[in-house]
Amino acid sequence: MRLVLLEDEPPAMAQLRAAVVAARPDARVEAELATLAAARAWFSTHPTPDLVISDIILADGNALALFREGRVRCPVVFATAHDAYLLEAFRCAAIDYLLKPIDPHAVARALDKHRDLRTLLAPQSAEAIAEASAAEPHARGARRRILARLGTELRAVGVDEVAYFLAGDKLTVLVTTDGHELLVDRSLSALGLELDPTTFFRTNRASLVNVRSVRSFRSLGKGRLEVKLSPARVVCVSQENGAAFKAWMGR
Amino acid sequence: MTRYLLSTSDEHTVTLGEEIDLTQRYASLLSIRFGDAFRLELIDEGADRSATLPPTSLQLLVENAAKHNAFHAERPLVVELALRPGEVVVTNTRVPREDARVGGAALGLENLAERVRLCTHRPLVIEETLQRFRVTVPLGAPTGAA
Repeated sequence: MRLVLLEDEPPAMAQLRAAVVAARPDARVEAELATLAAARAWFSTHPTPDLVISDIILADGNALALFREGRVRCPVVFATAHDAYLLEAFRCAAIDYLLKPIDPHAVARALDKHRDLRTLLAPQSAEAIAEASAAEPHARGARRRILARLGTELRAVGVDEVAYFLAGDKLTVLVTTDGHELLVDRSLSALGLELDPTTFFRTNRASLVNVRSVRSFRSLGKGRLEVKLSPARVVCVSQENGAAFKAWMGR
Repeated sequence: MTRYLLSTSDEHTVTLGEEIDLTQRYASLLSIRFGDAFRLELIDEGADRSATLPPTSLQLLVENAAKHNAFHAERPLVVELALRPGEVVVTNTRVPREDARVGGAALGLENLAERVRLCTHRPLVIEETLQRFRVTVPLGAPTGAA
């Protein structure tokens, strides 16, 4: 854990440092800063730490200015003799507010809170990522090549070489821009999730097309579209997908 | 210090010697708090230590200096007490804090000026430049001599 301490009074700084080290022997205090000027210089030249513990009234001004200026973009525990800044402190990224004289136990509790908040907040985003990747086994648009079979031969076809995919008879056929047809061991739905959605569109249940292979399209009425592809093929876009297709083509 | 404040609370004046003693105790507390960033310098230019002044007047000026200025180890706050016959000149280096409140010192200083006027019938003189803040505290005659 990387920490920065802001405190203008040497004895208070020593107490704070001792309390931090006692609570977290593995914590690394990267800087001990006494003034706003020193803090501004440090934060503009160093990577953001995990946590800042900060006095509010520093030797040359009010430390809340640093947070208002957006210079410090990490959680902060304020340690001050004043209770007047409570609300403003929590409007910054305050996670705790310790009143002086500093109780080492209160510092330990604040560090525990920081750790707990990290685990509380982090799994949520990890969960979101897990959910997203459950829906999309690989990040959307990440796939660059498709493994396809031509007879007994396997080929990695670059995404740019794919004109469209067709599904039929439980097989997925990849049609390359130069007209070759290969077999792919994946469903259209699975492929659709792995490919860049700005490039590939699921025109209907049986086709997934690359935007570059679309020659032209026309309305069949009632929102249905007929799409001419190259290499030569005609596919239909259903009524419910028509508007989405047009929007996608125009992107 | 608290004992001094209690024991002088009934008195309108204390001797310069007593007040210097208090101010030095107060300054030593500030030195513990701020380390090398704070310094009090006493310059004796022949003041009579039995001369009188309102209690805590010098202490208040030191407190004000520490309250209103930005200072740190590389640019310390230096408060100078020049003890002259008939007056004490308190000068401090002046570096306003970023969050300085305009006129924040006014109440304490006004109050002190009033107390000084009542006890010596002479005014407190305040001089302010960009680099320095200086207050001249007139001293009253030693008690008993008056």
